[in-house]
Amino acid sequence: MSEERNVRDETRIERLIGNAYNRLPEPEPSRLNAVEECLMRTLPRRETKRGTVGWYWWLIAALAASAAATWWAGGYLSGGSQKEEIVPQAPTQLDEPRRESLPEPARETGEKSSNVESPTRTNERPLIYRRERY
Amino acid sequence: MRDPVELIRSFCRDGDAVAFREFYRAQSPRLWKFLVARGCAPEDAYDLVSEAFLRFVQTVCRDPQAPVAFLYRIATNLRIDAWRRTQTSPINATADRVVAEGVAEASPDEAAHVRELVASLPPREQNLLLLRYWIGLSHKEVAHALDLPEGTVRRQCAEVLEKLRQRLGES
Repeated sequence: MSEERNVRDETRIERLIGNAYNRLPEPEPSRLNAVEECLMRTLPRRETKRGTVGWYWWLIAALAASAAATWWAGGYLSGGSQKEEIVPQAPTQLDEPRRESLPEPARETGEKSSNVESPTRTNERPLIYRRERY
Repeated sequence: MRDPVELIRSFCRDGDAVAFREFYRAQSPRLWKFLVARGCAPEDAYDLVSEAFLRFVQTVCRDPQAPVAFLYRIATNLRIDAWRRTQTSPINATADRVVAEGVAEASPDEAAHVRELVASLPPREQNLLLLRYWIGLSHKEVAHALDLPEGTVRRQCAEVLEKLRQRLGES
């Protein structure tokens, strides 16, 4: 009930205020047109300014990129002339198993190396020493 | 006539100057009348319209959701600043000027009487009433324009309506 009254009041007030204030004098069109022209002149100027700022950013980015490239190239060239000496390092423990897997060189026992090349080598140990029988 | 929100979105998205011109032509006469109704001298109102639109152009694209409310918010703040500079009461100025113009323009006494009643309200309630029932902003837009919570705007609107209804009934 009160809502209906509020709606009725709102409609009535809206009508009363509209009637009252719409009767106010209208602004001079020439004055508003002058303001409009001023505003329209500021719009392209604002875009131009923004474009100039963008151009400066591109310039700064290009300068930074060229400086970085120069620095990198300088470091690369100077690094090429100063080669480090290769220092032989002692074998580490990781190398040990690999060395064990390699075949041992033949000892100087007076035997021919043909024994090493015998087909039995793969299955039997090579004959390195035999006791002499009298 | 295109929707103001659509016009300003087009302006912000594509830099559409034609859309902005259409928005200006739709809003500027009413904004001028609003400022005059709020006690601004007609000559000063042109300056305020110009200043308000200039600031509007510079800042509206940050949040183009409610451009009309935003425009009236700028104008209202500029009006307050101008009043502070001149240090004259906007209430008295409004009453005097509006009554004088009402006699010249409106033939029925009812219009002048309504303007007198509105001018007798506090400035904040005048803003509320004119933005809501003359300019035609929604509660949400009025809240945005006056920097108030929407619930407060609804409550104050109901209070102002009741006050006006009583005063109209008395008269």
